[in-house]
Amino acid sequence: MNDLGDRVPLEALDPGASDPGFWARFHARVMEEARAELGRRQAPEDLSIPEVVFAWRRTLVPAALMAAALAGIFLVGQGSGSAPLSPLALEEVLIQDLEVEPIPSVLGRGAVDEVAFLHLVGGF
Amino acid sequence: MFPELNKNAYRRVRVSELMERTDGELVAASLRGDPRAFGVLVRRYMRPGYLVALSVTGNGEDAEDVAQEAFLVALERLEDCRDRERFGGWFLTIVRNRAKNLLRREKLRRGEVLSPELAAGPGGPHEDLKRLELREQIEKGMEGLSDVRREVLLLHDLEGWKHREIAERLGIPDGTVRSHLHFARRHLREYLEGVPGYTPSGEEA
Repeated sequence: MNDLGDRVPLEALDPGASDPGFWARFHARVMEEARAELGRRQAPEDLSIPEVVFAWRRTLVPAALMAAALAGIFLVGQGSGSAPLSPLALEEVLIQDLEVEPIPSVLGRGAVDEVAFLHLVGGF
Repeated sequence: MFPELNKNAYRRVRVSELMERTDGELVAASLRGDPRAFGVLVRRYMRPGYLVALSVTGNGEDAEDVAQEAFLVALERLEDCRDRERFGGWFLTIVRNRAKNLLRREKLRRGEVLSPELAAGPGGPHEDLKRLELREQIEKGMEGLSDVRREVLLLHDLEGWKHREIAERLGIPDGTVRSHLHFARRHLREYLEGVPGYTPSGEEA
């Protein structure tokens, strides 16, 4: 009952018997159709670190910009009350409420206050 | 038993070596999207898949479509294959179910075969015509068999699977496989003996 000699010749049912390329084409078609699913499966493992970062760009870039903006606002807000005056600002303060033209007196005092003079004649 | 292979190890393995891997190892690699591993699974089960589909539909074109679709369904549902070493049986179940669904949906288009011109192979139109006639007769003879007997007959006598392999993959006892094979052969042989030009050895008369 188990002998191969008892077997019924069924080769006519094998499409590869009359068409030698049948199974190669069958295999190629299945693999072509499966390509998308195989790609989906390998995607998470094949990504390098830059690729992962790049994949997250839509989330990361706006988040980084938001964080930078918040940090800037925080620093400006914190430092506005105690920031030291710059030299230019200091000169502005010095001449702010003067009723008379300060240039003659400035010129008479010498070169120490030269900066104030330069400021009034048009800056550096 | 082969050691467990990770993804990078698989890239260094030749296809010829992959052919020797167990179903479980190939399924594990396919789950990670390895096209070569899945390709070996396709190569290993395309003929059995086709034959199981043919045993249900009785039509070569339908069997081809069913087997092809079944591979794609199997790939999409690969996580559902709990016992990876038994991929073959699981896959053939998908084939069988899809073939039965096709029958229910479309009512089998029996008797459809390619015209002799379209099916002409290396032997020329005359030889192919004889082959097609014989094929039609075999298909008609197999109509009198149950699905499972057709499957057993095709997997054993055409695909060359052993009783134990068939029993394992169809999930039936070894003795039942032998019994199915015996009755299927007897039925088909009795039918074909009345067909002009048929010889039991398969040679041309």
